[in-house]
Amino acid sequence: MQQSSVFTLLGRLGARARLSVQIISSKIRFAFQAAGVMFRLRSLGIGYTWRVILNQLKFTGLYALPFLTFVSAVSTALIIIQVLNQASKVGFEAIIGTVFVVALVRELGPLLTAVVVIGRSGTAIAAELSTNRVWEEITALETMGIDPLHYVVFPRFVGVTLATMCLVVYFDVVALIFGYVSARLTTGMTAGTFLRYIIDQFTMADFYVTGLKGFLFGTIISLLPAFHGLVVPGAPTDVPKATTRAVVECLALVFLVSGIVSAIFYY
Amino acid sequence: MDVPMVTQAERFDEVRDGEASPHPAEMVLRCQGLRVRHNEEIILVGLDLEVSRGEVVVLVVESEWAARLIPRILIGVESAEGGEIEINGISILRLSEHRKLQLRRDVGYLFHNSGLIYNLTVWYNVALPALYHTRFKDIQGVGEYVNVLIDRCGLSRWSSLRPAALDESTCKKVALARAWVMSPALLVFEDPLMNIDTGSGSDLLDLAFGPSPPEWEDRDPRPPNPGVLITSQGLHEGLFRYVDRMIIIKEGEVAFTGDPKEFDRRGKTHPGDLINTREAF
Repeated sequence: MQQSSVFTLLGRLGARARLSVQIISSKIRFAFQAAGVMFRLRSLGIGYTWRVILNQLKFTGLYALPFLTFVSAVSTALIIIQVLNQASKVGFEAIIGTVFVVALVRELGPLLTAVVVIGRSGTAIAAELSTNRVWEEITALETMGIDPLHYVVFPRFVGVTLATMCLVVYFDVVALIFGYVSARLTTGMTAGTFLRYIIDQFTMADFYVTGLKGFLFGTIISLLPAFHGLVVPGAPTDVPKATTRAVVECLALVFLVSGIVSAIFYY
Repeated sequence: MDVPMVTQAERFDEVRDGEASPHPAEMVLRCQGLRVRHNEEIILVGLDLEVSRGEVVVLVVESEWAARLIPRILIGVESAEGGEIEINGISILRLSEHRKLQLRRDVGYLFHNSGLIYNLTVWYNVALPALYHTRFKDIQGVGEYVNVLIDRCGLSRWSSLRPAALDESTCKKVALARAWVMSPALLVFEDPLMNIDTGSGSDLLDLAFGPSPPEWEDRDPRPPNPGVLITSQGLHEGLFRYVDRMIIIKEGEVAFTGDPKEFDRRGKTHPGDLINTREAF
C-alpha cells in the first residue's frame, strides 16, 4: 500500500516534470521561430511592419522616460546619500565611484530599467496579444496571408529591444546627474571630483555589459509576453492569467540572466 | 496594383516537384475525401468539393462550429483529420506554414464575426493585406484602390473610425472590402449572415454578388469573376438568389447537392426538412 502511494507520487512528479519540459521547449521553439523571421526578412521585407516598430519604440522608449527618470533619480539619490553619509565620517568619499559603477551602472540600472519596461510594455504586449487571440484577430491575420510572427512579434522584438538598450543608457545618464546633485547636497562635492571618482572605476567591460544586458532583457521582455499572449486558448478569462504569467516569468528570467552575465564578466 | 503573389514560375516548380497537380486554371478550390471532427462531433466524413472561377457554392451545415471550422480547414488555417485540399491547383497539406501564408494572399476571407483588427481604423483594416503584401514604392496605388473600394461599399463616412464604433452589418461590409482588396481568385465566406438582421443580410449579399449599380458599371472595383464558397449554418433563402450550387451536409455526409432553385422546384420537400436547424429569410 505504502509502496504504491510512493509510485503514485513519483508518477505525478514525473508527469509534472515532463509538462514543465514541454512548456520550456515550446518557449525555446517560439524564440527560434521568432529569430527565424530575421533570416526570412529578405523575402518578407520590413514592409508595413515599420509602422508597428515605430509605435512600439514610441510606447516602450519615449513614453517610459518620465517614469524611468523618476525611478533613476530616486534610487540614485537614496544610494548616494546613504553611502556618502557613512563614508564621509571616515573621510572615504572616494568609495562613491565604486558604489556608483558597481551598484548602479552594472546591476541596478539594467535591472530597474527592465522592471519598468516589464511593468509597462511586457504587460501591454501580453494583454494585447492575448486579446487579439481571443478576438480571433491573429487568425484573421493568418487568413490574409500575414505571418503573425512577422507582423506582430518581430516589430515588438525590435521595438522593445532597441528601446530597452537606450533606456539602460538613459538610466545611467540620469543617475549621473542626480548622483552628482545628491553628492553636492550631502558633502559639497565638486563636479570634477565626483566625475573623477567615477571615471577611475569605469572599465570598457561596463559598456559591453550595459549593452548586452539591455539587449538580453529587451529580448526576454518582448518574446515571453508575446508567447504567453499568442498561446491563450481563447477565453477572455485567460487574458489576465497570461499577463500575470508573463510578468512573473519575465522578472524571474531577467534577474537570473543579470546574475549570469555579471558572473561571466566580473568574477 | 503590383501585388506579389505566388508566381506562375513558382507554380510550375511546385507541379514539377510533385507539390501540386496540374489542374485547370479555372478550378480555384478542390477537396477530396475531407474528414473533419471537432472534439467528438463528426462534421465531415469525406467531402468532395470543387469550386471554379465565377461559381458561387454554398455549403449548408448543421452546427455553428462546422460553419466556422470547415472554411478555415479549406484554406489551411486549421487542420483536417484526413483528405486532400487544393487551392489554385496547389495541394496545401504538404506545404510549409510560410508557403500556406503566401498562397492565402490569393484568397479573400470573410469571418462570421467580421474578424476586424480593433486597433486599426476602417481604412487601415481594408488596406492591411494590400499594405502588407505590397512593396513600399507601390503604396500610393494601394491607397487609391482602397479609397475606391471603401466608396463602393458605402463606407466612406466611417473610414476614419475604429470597428468598435460600428454596428455588426457595417463591420461585415468592412470585412468584405478587406476580402476583396487583394483581388483574390477565391473568396471564402464563413457564415456571412450570422449576427445580422434580414435586411442587413440582403444588403450584404447584394453588395457581394448583385449587379453593379449604374454609377459603378464601368469601374466596379470588385474582384473579377472569383470562385466563392460560402458556409452557412442552416438555410437562408436570401442566399438562393445568388448561389449556383448548394451542398447540404447532414450528419457529416452530403444530403443534397445541386442548384438551389431546382431544390425549390421539387415542391413538397422544403430544404428545412433536410437539415433541422434555424431557418431565416
